[in-house]
Amino acid sequence: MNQHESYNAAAKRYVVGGVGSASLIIITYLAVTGSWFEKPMSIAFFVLVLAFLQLVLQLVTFLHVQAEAKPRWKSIGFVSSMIMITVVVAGSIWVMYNLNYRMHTSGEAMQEYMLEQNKKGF
Amino acid sequence: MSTHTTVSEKNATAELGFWMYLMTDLMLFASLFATFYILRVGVADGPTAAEVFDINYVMAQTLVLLASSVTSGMAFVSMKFSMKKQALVFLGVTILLGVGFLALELNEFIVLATEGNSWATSAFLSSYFTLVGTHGLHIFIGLIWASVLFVALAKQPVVSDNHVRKLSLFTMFWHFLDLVWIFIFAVVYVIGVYA
Repeated sequence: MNQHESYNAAAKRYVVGGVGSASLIIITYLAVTGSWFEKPMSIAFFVLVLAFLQLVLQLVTFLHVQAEAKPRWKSIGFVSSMIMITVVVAGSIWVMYNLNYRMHTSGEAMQEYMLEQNKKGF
Repeated sequence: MSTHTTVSEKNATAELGFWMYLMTDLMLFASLFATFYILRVGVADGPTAAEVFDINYVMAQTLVLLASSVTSGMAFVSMKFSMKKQALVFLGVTILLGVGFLALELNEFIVLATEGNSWATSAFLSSYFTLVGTHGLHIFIGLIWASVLFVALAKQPVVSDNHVRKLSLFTMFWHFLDLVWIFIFAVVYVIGVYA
């Protein structure tokens, strides 16, 4: 935390962060209850963009990451965990979606396919 | 002056160490998010997200938690500027708002379970209870931490750097839980219901 920040400046950060976050939450609420978007993909995209904006806003105003002194270990730790999280989350969703897609065959066809694959051995 | 430097160095080290713990906790939540996202369509014979969640109820929960995140930050800033009474008031408000949030969440769980939509109903509800329940458990532990801290700080006549550090770690934890909740709100309650 910045040692030279005055009380008023520090308190102001929290007010800005709180009001900003509340506004983003309310915009999300209005967007979905007022049906601003029709396509499910557009809703998901809009909501996630607002969530990420709120993440950045809170990281700056509440956790004060931009004021960190070099060598910025916290930011490095955060960015590297975000990379790992992206791999884990996006990878899992991709793999499971693919699996789901490929399993969309009838039970009998799947049974035949499995037997066929079994004959090939490992 | 040299002792002062060591104390703030100690604070910075403690904050960095605690930050690294928070990052590992983030991994835990990330895997639970991935699980939820994959299993949310597996409703079996149970209800869908749109049938069980009420956005107005969750909005109230979200705003209560956000408010408690702001007051916990204010408690830390007040403590840093040696305004102990003000810090205790803000910490007390944080605890009350946190209890309110947890009560709303437990009520939601109880209503779901008694209406026959427990974690055993479908893959969607299992992953929902695991994700949101894990967050709730963190909130519960945070409330115990904050209460112990409140009593300990109230007993001390003078504000020291140690107190500031202890409060700063709790505040980080609380902000982190609010950050996780933003994504629970977005992914579980908004995207889960409307998209």
